[in-house]
Amino acid sequence: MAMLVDLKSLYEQYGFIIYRRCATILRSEDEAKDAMHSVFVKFADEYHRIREKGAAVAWIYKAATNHCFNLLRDRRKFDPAVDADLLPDREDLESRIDARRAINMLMHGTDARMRDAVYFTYVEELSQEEIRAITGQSPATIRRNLAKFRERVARFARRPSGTGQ
Amino acid sequence: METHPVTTLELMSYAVNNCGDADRDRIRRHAETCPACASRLKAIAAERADFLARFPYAAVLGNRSGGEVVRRAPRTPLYALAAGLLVAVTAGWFAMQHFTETTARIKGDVSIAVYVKAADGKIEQRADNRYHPGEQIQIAYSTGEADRLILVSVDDSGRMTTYYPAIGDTSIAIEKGRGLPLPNSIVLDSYIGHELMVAVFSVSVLQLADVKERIAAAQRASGDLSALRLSAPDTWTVRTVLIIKTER
Repeated sequence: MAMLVDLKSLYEQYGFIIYRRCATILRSEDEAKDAMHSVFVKFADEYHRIREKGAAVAWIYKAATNHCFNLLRDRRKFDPAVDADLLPDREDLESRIDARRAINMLMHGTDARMRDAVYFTYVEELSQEEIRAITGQSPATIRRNLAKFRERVARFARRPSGTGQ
Repeated sequence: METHPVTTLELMSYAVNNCGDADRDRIRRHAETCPACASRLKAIAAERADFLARFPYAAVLGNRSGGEVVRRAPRTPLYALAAGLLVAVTAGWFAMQHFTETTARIKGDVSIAVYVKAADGKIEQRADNRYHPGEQIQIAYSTGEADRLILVSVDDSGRMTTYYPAIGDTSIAIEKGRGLPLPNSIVLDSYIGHELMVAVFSVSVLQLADVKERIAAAQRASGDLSALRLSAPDTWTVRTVLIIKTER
C-alpha cells in the first residue's frame, strides 16, 4: 500500500539538518536551498524505509554530502570544505595557502570514500563509529583513508614551490 | 581516547525524535546531567527555529497542504515535489459526501471502516473488501472514549506499513466521534495480495514498536492474515479490516 507521509511535518522536522549539510559544502545559501529541495524529495520517498531503523539522520548526512559533492564535481569547481586549519599537524605544511591549494586538488581528485572520511572527520567532526553508520566504512578503513590523505597533503606540501596547482 | 557517551548523530536523532525508546531514555538522562549536550540540544532547537523562519515550508515547497501521499511501488518513478508528482489528497472528498458526528455519544463502539472512491466518483463500501491498484481509499473510525490511535498495515509477506503516526514513534491523538475520516486518504499501490489494516485504539500513549512486535508475533502464530488475532492488553482496542488487492 502507499505510505502516508506528512510532508510539512517531515520538512519541519528534518529540513534544517539537510540544509545545514548542503550549506556547509556548497557555501551558498541559494545553492544550498536548491540542494536541500532535491535531497528532501529523495528523503521523503525513502522515509518509510529508513525511519523504522532510527537511521534518518545518518541517511541525511550521507545523501546530502553525496549530492552536494556531486554538484561541485559536475560544476568542475571546488572550494574546499576542509579548512587547512582543521587538519592535524598543520604546522608541518609550508603555508596555509599551499595547504588549501593542496586540499582543493586532493579533494577534487580523491575517491568518494576518502573524501567522506576526511569530510566527516574534519568538517562534521564525527566519530569513526558515526562515520561508519553513515558511510559503511569500518573505523580501520576510515583511519587508513585519513592517513593516506594526510600523506598526500604532506607530499604536496613538500613539492618545490611553483609546481602543481 | 575518551569518548562522549552520546554522539553527535545520536543527539541529532534525539532532537528530531528519530531514535528507539532505549536510546531516547539514555540520551535524555545523559542530557539532564551533561551541560555540553544540553547546550547542544538548545542550539539544535534554535537552529531549526531559525531555519523554518528563513525557509518556511510554503516558500520552499509550494502551497501544498500537509498530509500528502507518497506512492511507494517498485520501479515507480520518484514523485518530485516541484513537478507535482506527489498527489495531494485530503479527506475533503470523503467528508463532503459522508456524514460525521462529533457530538454523538459512543461508548464501547470502536470501529474502522474502509471507503473507496469508485470510478464514477461515488463513495462506496465494498462488502468483499476487494480493491485494485490505483484506487483511493479513505479510512473512517468511530470511538467514544479512546482518543489515541496507531494504524499499521501488514501484508502476506509480513511487510508492515505505518500510517499513523506518520512521524514519531507513539500513537497519535484523535478526535472522538462517529464515522470520522482520518486526515488523509490512501492511493493503493501495485501490490497484489492481502493486507490487514490494524487499528489500535487506546486512552494512553502507545509505542509503535510494541504494536508492531505484537502484530508480527500474531502473524507468525496464525500464518494467515484473516485469522490474525493480536495479543494485546485490556487497555487496547484493536480493530482490523482485511483488504484484498486484485488486478482489475
